Amino acid sequence: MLVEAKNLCVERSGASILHDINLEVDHGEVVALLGANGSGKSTLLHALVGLIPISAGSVELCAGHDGQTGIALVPQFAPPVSLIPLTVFELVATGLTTKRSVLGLTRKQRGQIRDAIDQVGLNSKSTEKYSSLSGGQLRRALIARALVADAELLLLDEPLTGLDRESIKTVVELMARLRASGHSMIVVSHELADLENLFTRVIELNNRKVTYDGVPLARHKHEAHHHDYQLIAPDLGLLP
Amino acid sequence: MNIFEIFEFTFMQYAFIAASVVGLTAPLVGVFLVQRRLALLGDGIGHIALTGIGIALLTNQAPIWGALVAACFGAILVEYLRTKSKIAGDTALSIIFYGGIASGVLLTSIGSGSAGSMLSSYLFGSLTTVSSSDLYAVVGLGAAIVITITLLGRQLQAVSIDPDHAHVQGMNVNLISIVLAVLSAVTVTVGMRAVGLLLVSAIMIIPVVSAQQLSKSFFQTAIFASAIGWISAVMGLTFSYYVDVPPGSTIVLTALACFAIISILKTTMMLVTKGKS
Repeated sequence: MLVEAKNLCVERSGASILHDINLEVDHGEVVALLGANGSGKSTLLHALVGLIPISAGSVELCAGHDGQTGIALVPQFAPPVSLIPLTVFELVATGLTTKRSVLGLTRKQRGQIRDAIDQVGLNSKSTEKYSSLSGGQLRRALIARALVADAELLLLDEPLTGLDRESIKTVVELMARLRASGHSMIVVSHELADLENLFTRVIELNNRKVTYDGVPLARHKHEAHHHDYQLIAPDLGLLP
Repeated sequence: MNIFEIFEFTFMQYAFIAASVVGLTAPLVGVFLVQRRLALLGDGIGHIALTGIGIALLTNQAPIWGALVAACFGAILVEYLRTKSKIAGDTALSIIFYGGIASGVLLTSIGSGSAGSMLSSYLFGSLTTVSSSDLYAVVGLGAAIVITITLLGRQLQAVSIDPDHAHVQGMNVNLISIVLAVLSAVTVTVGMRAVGLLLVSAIMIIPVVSAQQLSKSFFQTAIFASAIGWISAVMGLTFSYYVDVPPGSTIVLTALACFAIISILKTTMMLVTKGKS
């Protein structure tokens, strides 16, 4: 089991945001976390990894390597651009940092970082400032940061939001490769996924609760319209 | 005029060593503070350090250690208020800020016979007040800053860039934040004699803002900022000797001059490059 939430509740200022959520995600699963705006999808994602305190219930996470959790988060928004220049290599390198990290990077770690950057196709941008990347390149750099630690479960918060068509195609292709290579994922989306054919499972949140948890249904596909993935996926050979 | 005459005086040798330590180390801490948008943290800590000096003078202890204890306490308190309480970060800082300096002025005035000159030497630095025991403390604390950053630099960087991601990675973000706050407190103490408590924060921040204009990476920024900090400290101290003013003002103005020169040069180069293309 990669993550297990039991009777999870989240409250903010006395108001219930999530109520009695039970959730298990296993190895090899690629889960779509769907729901309308404000249904608590991102809150659930953040509560699972401890970024938002839970008011009741429990969460258990798989253990990773070298004191890490085995879970990596790809946020919807990049860290705020600061005054300090930061290269793509340096950003990805932070994915390898753990509470046991002392001194600089080893040669092996440098190789791991280059491999992760290579996987997302950003080799030529490695020494460039991450603030100079386009939206799609930035999302790929954040995925590389998640991949570099060899996390078993990737949590992606609205990975296609705000991207242009070309970038969506690149990120969708990358996620398909991640699935093929055995990575488990929980992907948050505010509308029925552009990526539905990628998923092994759909969880719908509505009115603070899980209202559906199972395999993707036909209705999920029928409800999907104007989806870039459906337009792009046949070209990429991703559809079954 | 023999420009090397200033090195003939023992107090100036001490002052140069102390200024070099603060010039080299303060920007190394500042680079993480700027990244975390905590540029004013050093200011708040500097104010509460004055309270520590007042307590040390009242109890006949060495002011530098009083300042260190109070600064560390203040740093941890600010970090606690910023993260755990419902008080906003800048409000928490201002509480420490005003409480620290008010208590410091009161206690220093009671604890010393000549409150005015005593306060001035701590607030704006003083060339003649660096004793040999102070110097050992400054060098030791400077070494502690460098060792801590060498060991924990990656963790400090990861938490400064994206604390949420660092938390998910399994890092203790609160602990690393406290380490950064304590490093800031130690830096304030190191710079207390050469630059002064009111201006030491400037030598943590201004060289970093200058260096980021020249750098392409986080690592480069830290190295360049340290070099600019050292140049500012040594040149500022030299000006201070010849003009006979507190060194804090000349060191910070030199750092600002470096910032202005780098900004003008960079803007000129960009205009030239644009013109060619």
